Amino acid sequence: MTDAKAGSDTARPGTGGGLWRYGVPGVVTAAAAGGAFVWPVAAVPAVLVTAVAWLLGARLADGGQAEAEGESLEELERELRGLLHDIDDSLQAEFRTVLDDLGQIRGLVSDAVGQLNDSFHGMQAGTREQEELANNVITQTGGDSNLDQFGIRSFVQETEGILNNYVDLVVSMSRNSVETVHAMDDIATQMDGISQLLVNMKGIAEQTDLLALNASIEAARAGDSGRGFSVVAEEVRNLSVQAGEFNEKIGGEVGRVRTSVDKARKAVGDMASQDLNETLQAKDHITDMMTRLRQLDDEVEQAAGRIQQVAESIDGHVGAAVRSLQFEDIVTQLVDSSRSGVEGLDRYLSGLGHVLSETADQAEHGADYVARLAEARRRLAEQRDARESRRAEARHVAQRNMDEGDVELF
Amino acid sequence: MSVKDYTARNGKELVLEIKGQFDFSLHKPFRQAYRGHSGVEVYRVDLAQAEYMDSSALGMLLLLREHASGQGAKVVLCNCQEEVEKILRIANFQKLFQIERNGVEARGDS
Repeated sequence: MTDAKAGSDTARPGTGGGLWRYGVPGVVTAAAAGGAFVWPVAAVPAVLVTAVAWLLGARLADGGQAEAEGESLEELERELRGLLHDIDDSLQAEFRTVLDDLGQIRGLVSDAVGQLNDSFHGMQAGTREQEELANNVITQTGGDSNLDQFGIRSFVQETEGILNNYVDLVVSMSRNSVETVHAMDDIATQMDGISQLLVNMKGIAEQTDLLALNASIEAARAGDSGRGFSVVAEEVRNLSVQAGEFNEKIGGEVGRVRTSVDKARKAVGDMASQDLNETLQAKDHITDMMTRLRQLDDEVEQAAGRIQQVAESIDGHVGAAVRSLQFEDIVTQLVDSSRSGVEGLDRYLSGLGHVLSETADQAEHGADYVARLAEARRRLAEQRDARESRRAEARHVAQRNMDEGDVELF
Repeated sequence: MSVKDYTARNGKELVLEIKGQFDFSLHKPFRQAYRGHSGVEVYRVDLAQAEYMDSSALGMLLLLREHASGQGAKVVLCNCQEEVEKILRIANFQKLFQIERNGVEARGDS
């Protein structure tokens, strides 16, 4: 810019050679550079336009220095103005496209962020419900309360109690039975003693019979005097036979009692002999069942705990995502800043075009023309400085918002 | 199935060795084995070779215990096999008897 100013200062009055060589191309270069900065797509046409401006500027200036005929100078000025109008038109078309695109970006970002916000809200609600459910499960499975809740514990305890009672009953019955059998064994032994006594008695009866027989023989040998004794001896013999019969009857009874005792002994023995293995298995089964129920309980509690942890972690991620969605604010501000930049450039070009057309209408030449262009440049530079300071302010605000990074659902 | 008895420690300990099935068929020899000994302080029932035990065996052990306590003596059940020990435990005999496994006293709460 200082180069261009220096060029215009050294330009000889009346010719306007410095103006054409440096001033106008300088302005065009500045405009093109601004356009390329705001909208990189415009870089290629901007470079082309700049090159053409410098070439034409050089030719016009050469023409002025050579003091060619006024006709050819006017023709050159006309051509230059036409060219500047063309540049103005095509740049304005580019700016419109850029503005449209920026508007679309703003809308798209805003819609997408809105939808993302809704999604994250839904997700947060979902994880909160999940967390509550997991919490409920933990509360219910805490301790062994669900075992109590469904009566499983009391059922198992009752069953265990019944089994224990059954075992006690069986053992006590067996003990009594064995004791009874022992008593029966003793009775059998005593019966054997009675049988032995009966055998002895049988011997006595047989001996009595023998003695009575001897007495009868002795009585017969004594004749009449022994007749009475013979009767007595016969009676004694009858008694001994009767005693023998009684003895046999008693022996028979004792034998039958012995048989009955043996039968009872067997029955009581069967009663005493209970197989406890089935009871043992039932008890083992119940113990296993309880152990497995407790394991299941623990597993459910652990799984619920994990679910809760996962839900909390998802919640954290969602929070971070929601925080990141604040980029919309910043993007919007940046887009707005770009838009105002493009609009400013548009105004800049319009101002340039206005100056050119005014100078054409009033047919100003030479020193007036130079002064007019210098004034226009000064105003445009002021406008640009004002815009740049506004943009710097906007950037600073955007940066500060990003750094604060509060969790805020918008 | 048999019961073999012998005394140890100068007649102060009577050992009853059970072989095979410890069931009702042993009720007579078992009683005979512990009766008629005097001055016995410990009745040791060696179950190392007992393969099975039914409730009548438990009844016999209870009667032995009563017999022993009448003399101020105690009963020790030793060298039980696993199955036999389970039966003793289900009947809560560890509360009534001293149960030794391989010479070491085995106490259980269950």
